Amino acid sequence: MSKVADTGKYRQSFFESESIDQIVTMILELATEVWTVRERLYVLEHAADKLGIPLRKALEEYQYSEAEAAELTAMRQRMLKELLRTVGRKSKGLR
Amino acid sequence: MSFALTHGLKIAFDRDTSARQKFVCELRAYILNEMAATMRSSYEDEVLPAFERKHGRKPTTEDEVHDAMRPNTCFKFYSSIRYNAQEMVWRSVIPSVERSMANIEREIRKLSGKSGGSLQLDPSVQVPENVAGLEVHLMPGGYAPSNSPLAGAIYDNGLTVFSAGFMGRELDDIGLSMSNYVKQRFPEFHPRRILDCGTTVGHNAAAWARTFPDAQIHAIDVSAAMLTYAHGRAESCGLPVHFKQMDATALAYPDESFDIVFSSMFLHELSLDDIRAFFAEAKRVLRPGGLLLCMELPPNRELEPYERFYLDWDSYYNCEPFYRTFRDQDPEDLLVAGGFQRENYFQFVIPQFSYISESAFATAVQKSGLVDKDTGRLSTDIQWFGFGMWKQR
Repeated sequence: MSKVADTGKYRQSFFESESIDQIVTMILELATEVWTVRERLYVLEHAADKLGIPLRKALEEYQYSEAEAAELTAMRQRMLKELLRTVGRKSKGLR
Repeated sequence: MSFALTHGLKIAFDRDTSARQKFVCELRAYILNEMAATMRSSYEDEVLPAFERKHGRKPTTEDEVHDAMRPNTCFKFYSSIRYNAQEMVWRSVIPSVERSMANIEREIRKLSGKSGGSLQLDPSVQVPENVAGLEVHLMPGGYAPSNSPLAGAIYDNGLTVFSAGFMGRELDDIGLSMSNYVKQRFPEFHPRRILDCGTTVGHNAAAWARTFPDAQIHAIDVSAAMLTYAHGRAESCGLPVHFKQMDATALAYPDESFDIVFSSMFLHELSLDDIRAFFAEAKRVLRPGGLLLCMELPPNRELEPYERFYLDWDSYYNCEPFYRTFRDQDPEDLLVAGGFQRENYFQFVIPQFSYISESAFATAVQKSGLVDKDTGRLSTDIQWFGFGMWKQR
């Protein structure tokens, strides 16, 4: 994990409840993750097409190994940490 | 618009990180264009009429607009999403920068001195509180956390995502626009020594070196982290820039030793006392007939209350406490108070040098433009505002 990405003590709050600001953060982080995956899938499918590989069928039929399943669990946990990173952090209200 | 850096310290981001950065860029563009326009409409359709009903007049100050806008839902979402996007800019580059630091440091050591530039750090320079004590632009760790070039690399890559290409291929469009303005507007003026103050990663100093290849370019900053990175960056581009750690309010250069003293987006990060001290120092180190040139945000007197409120956002929510104080000033009056002569003042608004034809830029330079809603703002029709003062011969 980054040493410097979360150094700020306070985050600015704009809504009556800071919870709403935190939810905005979650939605934006989630949207970014969704986009990142979408772009990767787009590239995968198009690159596979160019290589003559029937990727869509293989995707549907694929079975995870234990190591792969563990890797995906770790990835999910990292994603949740990003998504929920503002919960519990102190905020300051509007000026 | 492409926004990948091409200089020798550039980082190869993986596909997911690049996708994340592009998404943040699009998000910021949406906020600054579509959401800003929606917020403006909401102000005109709802907030302004309500204010007029209550007070029998329009708002006359940015504070009145701010107070009226604060409960507005568009303002809340605009602000909350913009604040998040600012954090996401840095978060989209930091992990990759951290992983690349060993390479970057090795590259800087390898490149040092290759192009004739130099780096002089001075541990006795006290990093002022407005740099050391703040995370300006919400940049995690701030601009001068240590001597490691890490902060420089974060800034360079983060600013690239932040500006989405609007600041030029190497973030050098402000420097290119300003230096080419000088070159074309004052063809008889041939600067031999140029000083860039508050240079950070030297992106604009590099532009001056490109425009005036026969001039000696010096660049200063209080942050050793920025300067170390800036040195490697300039050397990798084959540009001989001399970087020195120095406070612009106490320049360690002899009297009358420069033809141009330049700053870009620098004054609005300084207190009023520091701006005055910088102007005094600039006057001292300029040769008679030399030019102090500052690219900046347009002063409030040129703007309507709503536009002032809009630009104030950074002052309140982007950790730039002096942003508004600076814009409340009249730069001409400040310079005159600093000993310059009023008749030697000029100001101008110009389009971006990097994105228009040479002839269109040359025409724009002669007109010197007017401040409008796109001046100094990263929007699709951005223009740069600058002002200058000649030192009496």
